[in-house]
Amino acid sequence: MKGIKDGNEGAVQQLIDGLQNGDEHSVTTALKELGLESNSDLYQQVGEMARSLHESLAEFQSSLSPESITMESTNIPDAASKLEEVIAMTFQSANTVLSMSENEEKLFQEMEQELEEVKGVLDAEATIPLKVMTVFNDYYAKEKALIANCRECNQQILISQNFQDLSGQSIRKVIKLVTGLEEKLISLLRLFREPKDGETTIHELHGEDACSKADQSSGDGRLQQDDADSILKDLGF
Amino acid sequence: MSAVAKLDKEMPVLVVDDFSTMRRIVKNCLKQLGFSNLHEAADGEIAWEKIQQQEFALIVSDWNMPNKMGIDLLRDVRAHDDYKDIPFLMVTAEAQKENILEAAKAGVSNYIIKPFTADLLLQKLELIFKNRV
Repeated sequence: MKGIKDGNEGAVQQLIDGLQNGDEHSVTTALKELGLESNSDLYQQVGEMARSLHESLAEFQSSLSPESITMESTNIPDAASKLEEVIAMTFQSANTVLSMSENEEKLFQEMEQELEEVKGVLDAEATIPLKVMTVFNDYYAKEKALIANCRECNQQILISQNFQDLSGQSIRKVIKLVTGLEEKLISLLRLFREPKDGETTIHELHGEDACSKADQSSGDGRLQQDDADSILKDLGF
Repeated sequence: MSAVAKLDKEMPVLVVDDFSTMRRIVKNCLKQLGFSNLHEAADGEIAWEKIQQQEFALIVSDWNMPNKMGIDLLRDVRAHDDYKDIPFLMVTAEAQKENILEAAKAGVSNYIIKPFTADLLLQKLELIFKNRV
């Protein structure tokens, strides 16, 4: 591979100065001197990476939306908006589950209330035989335990919906990463050649808002609750 | 009797999260624990306005939100004489050591990493309120 040669410090400095000053001529001259012309191996490899990413995005969108196969090959597929759709769909599903869960909780409350009402009536009635009261009390205890168990399960269902928030944040990080990487690769390619008329940026193709909601955290160094508790304990919490 | 059980369940609680799903989940968990006076805000800025309009006995906030982040809301709360003592529980996906240290430095009452369980929420509330009841 033809790369940066030893003894080309002058050209490297010219490249840096050119980039800092926005002097396109200096940049082009320095790149040529460094052997980084548009026919270089490096250029080819960056181009292949950009193409590969572009095709991956196209494939990804095709798998989500079969009709998009007919899109013109000159369009960079809007995978980011498809991921936003995934976020919207999971949001909708999670909210449906939450609504059902809330309705169930109301039903449990009604069941409990009715059970207590019946118990109240029977407890106040002195003529009910002891055997019947024993059977009812047994039934009452079992029903209470059953309702508590159902309530616990319902709460787990409800809590498990917090995946929607986490998956949404993760997907937005992916959107930001992919669109950022694509933008950078294309920018790198453009360093080697003159832009053609009508060429659009990745942001124009994907929409400015595609990754604007992406959050700012990274996945590296993510702690578990136990680790967090340990730190908090050390801090006196 | 637990600290949470001794609490006035009518005390106003503010739940702050930009994801409505998360607000519903946290509110439902608090309901399960008996709290009934629940309020919500979709970001730190809205929360800060509500805090200035109404008294709250507990704030449960996400970290990463538009307009005003949870950490900035915490700093505002702690910097204000009228609100500085309100218990502030951070419930967040931000799980870096630096985040926890930053929150601790800003005066967070406790910290929960998402995803969480109702039991964990209860444990944290116990810790927050055990010296207050």
